[in-house]
Amino acid sequence: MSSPAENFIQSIHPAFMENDDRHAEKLVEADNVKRLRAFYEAAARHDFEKFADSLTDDVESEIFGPPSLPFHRKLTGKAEVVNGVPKNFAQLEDQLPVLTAVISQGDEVIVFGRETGRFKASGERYALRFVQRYTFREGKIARVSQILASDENAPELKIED
Amino acid sequence: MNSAAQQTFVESILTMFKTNDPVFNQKIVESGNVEKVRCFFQYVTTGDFDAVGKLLAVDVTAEIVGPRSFPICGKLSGREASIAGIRHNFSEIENQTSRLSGIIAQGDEVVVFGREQGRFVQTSHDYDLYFVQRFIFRDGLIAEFFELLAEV
Repeated sequence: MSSPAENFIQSIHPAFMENDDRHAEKLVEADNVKRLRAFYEAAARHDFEKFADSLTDDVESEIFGPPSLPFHRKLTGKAEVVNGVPKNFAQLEDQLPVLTAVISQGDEVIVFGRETGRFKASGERYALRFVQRYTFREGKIARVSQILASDENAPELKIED
Repeated sequence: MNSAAQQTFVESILTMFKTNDPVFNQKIVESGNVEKVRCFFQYVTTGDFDAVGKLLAVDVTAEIVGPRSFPICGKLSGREASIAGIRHNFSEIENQTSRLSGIIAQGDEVVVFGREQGRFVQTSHDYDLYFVQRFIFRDGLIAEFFELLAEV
């Protein structure tokens, strides 16, 4: 049986093809989606060498969402991102991410999803909706911005805004 | 509503669609959908809700997810309910200034990124938020609308 992270990763390419009869013609976009999948796989395997290799040296990462989330909000440069992203993941456990859409045009790939899980420090459960925007430059991720909000469809898991 | 700023927002939609994509002119389906999104914002900006309705599928669904303190979050189904919801949401805010930061279109979907500042009418509190909107088209009409909001 696949893990939630594996299911998430395996659903990336089918989601890219959905709602687009001409997806086969989108070669630049398909390459970027493939690179994004490799990036997620490296993160899931904790292969930080490959993870780092997916990023430009001047990569920027930013998270916008409820102030109560215990995340590093802004990271600049490959070293900060490679150190900061695992620290963000380390705040969480029992993560159950579900991909709901992948939309790509040119240098950009947008990922929509929802996730439930638990904050390690407090033990409280959370339910989030998220959108991740990846901007590629010369085959590497140059910018990641993420918008998060509490999932109102899971009110028992609401987090503080 | 800050009319000049909103008009700039509307006019920047097609320009933004072409950014970062050297083959945008080959994307006929996407260009058509982006033009409809531009019309959607144009009609909303001018308060022409009959025209907005003509862009929506009869069974359109609309969902806005964001901070609970925002009086515009929720879920709606159907054209009439969605138009009423849009009218209601715009009646809750004033002095809006929106800036576009991205348009990404693929197949039947258009995603809009931006930032909006304004004031809630009832509380007179200013707001400043990032937004992302996802439009899904079916048979040339908006069949699904989803928006995620985060305070700056």
